[in-house]
Amino acid sequence: MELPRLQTIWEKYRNQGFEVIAIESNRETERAVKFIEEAKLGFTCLENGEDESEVVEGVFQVWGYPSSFIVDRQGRIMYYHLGFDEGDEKVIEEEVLSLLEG
Amino acid sequence: MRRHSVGLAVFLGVLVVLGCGGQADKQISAGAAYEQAQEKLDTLDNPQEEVLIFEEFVRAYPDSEEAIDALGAVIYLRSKKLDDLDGAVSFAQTAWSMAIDPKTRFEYGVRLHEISVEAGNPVDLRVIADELAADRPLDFVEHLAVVEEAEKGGEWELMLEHSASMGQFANAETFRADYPDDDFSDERVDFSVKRRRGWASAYQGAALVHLDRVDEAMAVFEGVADLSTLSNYVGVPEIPLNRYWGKAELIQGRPERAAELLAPDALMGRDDSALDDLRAAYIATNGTEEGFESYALAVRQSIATVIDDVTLDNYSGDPVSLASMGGKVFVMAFWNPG
Repeated sequence: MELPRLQTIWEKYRNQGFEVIAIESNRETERAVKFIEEAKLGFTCLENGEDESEVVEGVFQVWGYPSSFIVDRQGRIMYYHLGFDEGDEKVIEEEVLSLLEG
Repeated sequence: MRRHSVGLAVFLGVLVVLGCGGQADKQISAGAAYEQAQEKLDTLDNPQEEVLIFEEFVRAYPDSEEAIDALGAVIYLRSKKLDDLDGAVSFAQTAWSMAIDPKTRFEYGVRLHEISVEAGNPVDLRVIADELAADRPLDFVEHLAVVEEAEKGGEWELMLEHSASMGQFANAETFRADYPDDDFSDERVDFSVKRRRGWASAYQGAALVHLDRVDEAMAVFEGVADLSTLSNYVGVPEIPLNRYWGKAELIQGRPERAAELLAPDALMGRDDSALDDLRAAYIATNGTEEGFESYALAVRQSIATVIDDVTLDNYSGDPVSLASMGGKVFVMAFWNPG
């Protein structure tokens, strides 16, 4: 699972101007909250909007999970990651680090 | 054949016993048996034991839909977790020889081909494809599977034939017929048809490049030039057109044009083969690899999409906007507890 690994990266770099925003796409509030609490996720967790305010598919054209964007200080999406395999957290950490240093 | 493959496995005694046990349980449906297997798997956390459960299932229900999934699990566990690539190939071979239904044999065959390529000793993909074709015409997804496998195995003639067949499915009528239960909007159908046309042409062109028919490949790519901008929100192409086209441009001695086509695939989505080609294009242009990393970063910045600002609620009910991240680096992770 991707989110607990992101938690590790977040703890490491949160004081250097880094944040994680998790958006739950299906509005399964109860299960999402349970997961967030059990995994002790400390970063920003948001819930997808309904109807007109739905953003995951409507705005970001994301249909596969998990997917992630890595966004730089200027708001540019510098990296796109679909799926999550073991070892991917290293790739994500490298990207984050290079953007923090850049 | 089956006996022989089992004989190849190191742990044959265990397998034969489990295999027989599986046969005896055949009164229950494959679906129910697979659920039972899943429950058993939940109690295990070592791949050596897990793989035996999946193998037992495939042997007991070789022609079920679930077994295709189970074979995938066996291949993954043996090749990635148990460092037993030969065992993965051997079991895929066993499964293939046990199945009777042509569609199941095709699905097993595709997986067998993939892992046998990885093991450096590919099985004959044409035999697998022709066997299903003798039963009924392949559909779009099946042609695509053959094309992708042919690419992995370097079987370019076969890749060319099946990618040409893919093109015949690139029209609205065929697309709608493939999804009879869905009522897609015209817009959605138009997009999907474009994607099919783009896939077919991209793979045809790629095969032609490998067959040293580069002029023909260029004509195919030019024919779908209108599709080279088909990309997702972050600017990564939806189809592999640009990366194959870029490779062809590189071979044709136009590295700057090649770089332009290759950059989004190479830099935004981490397609390693596109990245290698982009690096080659850079070297061809500049005569050295020096400076490639900073070039790549600059290109990435210039093609990157600036994220739209949205506002959503957190679990305390407070609205949070992306604009409030101002100046921070952030990962936006899309998920669901599914």
